[in-house]
Amino acid sequence: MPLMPNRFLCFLLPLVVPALFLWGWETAAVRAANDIILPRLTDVLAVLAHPLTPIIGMGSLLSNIGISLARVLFGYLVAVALAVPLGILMGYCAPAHKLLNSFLALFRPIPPLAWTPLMMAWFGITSPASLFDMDIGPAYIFFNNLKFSMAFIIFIGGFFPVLTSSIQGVRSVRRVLIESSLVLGASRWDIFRKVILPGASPSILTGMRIGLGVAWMCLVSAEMLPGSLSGVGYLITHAYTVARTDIVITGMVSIGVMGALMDQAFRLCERRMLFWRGKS
Amino acid sequence: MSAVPSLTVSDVSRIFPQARAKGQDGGIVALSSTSIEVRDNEFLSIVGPSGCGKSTLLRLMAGLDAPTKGEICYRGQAITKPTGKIGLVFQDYSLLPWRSIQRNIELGLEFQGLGGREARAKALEHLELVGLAQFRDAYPHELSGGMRQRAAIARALAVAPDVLLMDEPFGALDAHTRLLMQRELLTLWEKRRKTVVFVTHSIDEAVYLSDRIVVMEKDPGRVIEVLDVDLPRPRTRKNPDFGKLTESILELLKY
Repeated sequence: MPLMPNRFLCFLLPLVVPALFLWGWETAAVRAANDIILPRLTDVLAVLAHPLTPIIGMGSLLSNIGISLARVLFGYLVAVALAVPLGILMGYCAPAHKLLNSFLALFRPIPPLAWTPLMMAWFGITSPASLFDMDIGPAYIFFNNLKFSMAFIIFIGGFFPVLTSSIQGVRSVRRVLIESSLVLGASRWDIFRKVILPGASPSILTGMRIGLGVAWMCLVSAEMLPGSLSGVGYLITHAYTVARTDIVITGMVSIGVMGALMDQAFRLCERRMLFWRGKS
Repeated sequence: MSAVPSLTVSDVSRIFPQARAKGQDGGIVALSSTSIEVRDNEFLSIVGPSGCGKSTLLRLMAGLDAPTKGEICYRGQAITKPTGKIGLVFQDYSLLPWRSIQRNIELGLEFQGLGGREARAKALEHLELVGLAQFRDAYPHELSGGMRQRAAIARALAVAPDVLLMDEPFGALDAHTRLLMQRELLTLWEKRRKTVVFVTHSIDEAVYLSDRIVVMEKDPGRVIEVLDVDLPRPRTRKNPDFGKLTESILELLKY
């Protein structure tokens, strides 16, 4: 048990460093007196305080966050839909692992950003809207924002963490659980459904949480691609070109806060569903 | 007691191939030319030091492993894979941690195609049998080691096996709980007569529980003696014959 004098201090302690940081920022900003190098804390707070007001001709902060979220979910959900079954298959069936593992290991070290030129060559600025030849309207505008090239960058980011932890999850199911089920008369399918899947779920869920984090981190690089006119990542790069550093920082803060919120939500689910994790 | 053999182990060897030991062919002999007959409804214990192949033998009987040589038959039929007819209780941590105790006991019933209300009723019946009815909604990690083992026994019994194999089921329990569990197991066995093959490294436990004791030694794992335990039940450790038998097994094992 670490030393903790009292509850008041416990509550205060985590706030000390952020407070110092903000104080240092504000002092430095006042001293620098240059909005482009370092805007004041209050300027950033002012933008954050009005998430529904259009900024630099790009719509509101909230709508940009919404579009970014839709993009990340698009790429991420595809990644989960492919990586979880594939990982389970590779973990459960040794020949499948032998067949695919060394092949996939070649792609794992390639950073998502390195895929950009190739993705642009393949997909250009196509989106589900252009692919299905949708009529111009609100749905068209929404789907046209989900460019395939962006989704692919995010997909690559999310895919490997989910794959690896799914394989690991299946392999980590203790042998005695499988054997005691076999002795009770379980079929291979029973074992898979009632022992392997629930047993692997903690690891799979952790992989999904990490994958979502990585997918979210790929957002800025994805939204820097041509054809992007919205999203927090684009907001940051566009604010930079018009020398609005306060909006750059606002965008960064939004990405940080959104990422942390999603991670927390995931952790909450994990705790709920996997109360038995780490116990016999 | 009838003398119909339930399980017949005929000249069984199990050799584990060893990849790393170069030049030494054949691998590790876990079990060497072993023959045992397990009689119907008897309580048979297998004792011996670690590495004598007693757990290997049990796994072979359960159908979880295949002999390198020889054959194990259950009522004349060679065992090739696990069936619901031969149950196995492991030392510990064999309950599914994400299922409540009740749902753990339903597990085997589900595998046998029994579902819903019928499975629930049967599971509850077996929870009562081992005195765990009030803990039906608890999860394995919330129970003590002794309770977990009682649940594991209930789970094995719920699918109504003919033979119950037990692999050091009380090995992870403290000495006190262990004695209580031994007595409870005997009570259960009186209630639901079936063939029990009980692996243990405790000679005292084997003498207390069994009709017959198979004594094994290691390097290579093999049977050195099969002893009848002619002590009246319920047994007491005060009986001088209890001590004598324990002593003679210790001698067989050269302690």
